[in-house]
Amino acid sequence: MSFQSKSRLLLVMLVLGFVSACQTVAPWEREILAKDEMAWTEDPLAQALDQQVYFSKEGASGGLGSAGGGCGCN
Amino acid sequence: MDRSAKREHHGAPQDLGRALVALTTAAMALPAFSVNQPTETSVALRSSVYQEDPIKNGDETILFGSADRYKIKINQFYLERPVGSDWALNLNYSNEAMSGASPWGASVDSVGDQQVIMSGASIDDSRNKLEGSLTKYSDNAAWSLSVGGSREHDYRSNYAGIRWINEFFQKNTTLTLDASYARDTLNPTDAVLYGRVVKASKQSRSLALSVSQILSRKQIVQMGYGLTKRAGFLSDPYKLRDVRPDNRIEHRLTAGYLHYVEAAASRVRAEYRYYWDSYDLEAHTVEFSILTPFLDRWEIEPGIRRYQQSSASFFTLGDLYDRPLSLPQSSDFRLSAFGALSTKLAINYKRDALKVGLQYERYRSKPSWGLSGQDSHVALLGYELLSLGIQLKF
Amino acid sequence: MLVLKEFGLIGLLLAWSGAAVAVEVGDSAPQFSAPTLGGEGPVSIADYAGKAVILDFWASWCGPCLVAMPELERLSNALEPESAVLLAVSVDSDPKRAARFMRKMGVSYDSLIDTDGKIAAQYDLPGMPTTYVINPEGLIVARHVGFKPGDEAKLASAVNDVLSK
Repeated sequence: MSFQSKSRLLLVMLVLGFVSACQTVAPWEREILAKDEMAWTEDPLAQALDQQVYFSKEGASGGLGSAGGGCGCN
Repeated sequence: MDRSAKREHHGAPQDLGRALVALTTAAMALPAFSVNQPTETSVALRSSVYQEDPIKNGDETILFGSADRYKIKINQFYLERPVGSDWALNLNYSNEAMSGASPWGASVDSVGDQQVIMSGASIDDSRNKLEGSLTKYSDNAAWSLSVGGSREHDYRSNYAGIRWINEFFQKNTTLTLDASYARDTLNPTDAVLYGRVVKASKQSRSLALSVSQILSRKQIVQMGYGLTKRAGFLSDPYKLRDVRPDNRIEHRLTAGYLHYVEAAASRVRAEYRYYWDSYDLEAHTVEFSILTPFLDRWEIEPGIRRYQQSSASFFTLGDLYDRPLSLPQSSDFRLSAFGALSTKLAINYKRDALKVGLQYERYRSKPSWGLSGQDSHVALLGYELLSLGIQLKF
Repeated sequence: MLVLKEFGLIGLLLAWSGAAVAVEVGDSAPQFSAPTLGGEGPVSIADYAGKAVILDFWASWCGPCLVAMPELERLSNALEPESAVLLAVSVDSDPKRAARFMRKMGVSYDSLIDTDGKIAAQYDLPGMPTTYVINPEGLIVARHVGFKPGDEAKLASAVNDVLSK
């Protein structure tokens, strides 16, 4: 299987996993999701540094863009 | 490369402050990361230094110029502050100082091996970047406006962006939309002397959509798509022969996954990005790390990153002086086929509102790891990076 | 008899579908009992029948809940113990962690602990934190979700409304 079709398959699997594996987590069950290390952007400066350094050395650019998860409070 | 060769060619044009970031500045503001107003003020400082590996592979590889490459120091500052009950303000400043040489041009010798022409060691060049964001929070949604700019002696960039975040399904699903615009102006040094473009500009417009979905009490996944259109002067004015199409359309598909393992109080993180653009460049990036506690207030996070790209359609191993300047051409290593592997290690100390982290990264690239079988650049990079960061919340 | 059967059926359907009906203003406050962080217990909400109750669900991992604590402390101290009481319930899975945060925030009131989230599920909390104001007859007269600086005034006025009746 070529790398391209492998990665396409991976993408499809991810989407299916996404759709089928959801349980609704109630507001009082978000203890683990509220942890710093479960945030998409735990360290904004480290993330900005990585993006800047890789971007200056490689042809591709851009990274994960989502907010989400966390405490869900307020 | 021995010092005598360097002395012999000291008369070669000095690359006075090559705009390392001329081709790399992207609108990368740090807008809101959450739908919920932060309850505390956060301040973060980070200081990093990285050193590129010198070019190896023997005397014939470098036609002239220095073999030592860039040494870069980056200092960053970040502030996030809640304002009233519905707003927050972000401020982000960074300073990047670089010194060293970079590939100026390339040629291919009689046996097909590449040789590079390096610039002389340049004087220090520095770049300052300042950004601010204002975010408004409401039930289940947040709006963020960011503006920023960066300045170097030969390059300036101004950008603005908006972000919209919305939560659905009992806050289990989060949708994030981003739109941004950047305008960059370039005034290469010694333009008239070396026949470079005197002044040029380029614009970038980006749109991105991503969805974050909670899978369970300890798992969360994210998927996204981003599109960027760049137009204007996209070539590198500091290279001997570099002509790029004045339009570039970039796509990226991203996926991320976080999993908390309760038994080990550890967190696993995985990310994947598929990138493709109108230069025919394609790239796959995979990152993986595990954060685990040790002793009382310490954490350790080993990580690995694998990157692979194909070459741009107009990449040439050696500069082709008989190719008309109306045709795209470039020997820039960043447009060649190569792969890279990074190994990283971070160690953190956490106590109440304070977190101190030290990171080390070793980055290596090789042409044989690339996506296509094409011969690749000898000026491919390796570097070592060390970074120290402090975060405080109050 | 038929009405009861209908309700029963609806109840069964709801239970089967997994949907809990969020406890709202006008409903009867569900009964429960739980141990306290201080080690006493079990304390039951029924112990406060005839008094107004401010029932606050919080957790150490919830930022706004910690912001609310000094305000709840002020509220609690202003209450007349014979007519009103503050009942805090933590949903932390680790009682020691909850206790540590209470000490850190310097509050004098004690809190109940609901480690498996059963009471939270009974009330089907719409968010964190959630504060209910319950009248002496056991009916919910106000429900406040989330906490932002300035919200203590809203809670105080809801309590005053209940006490003045």
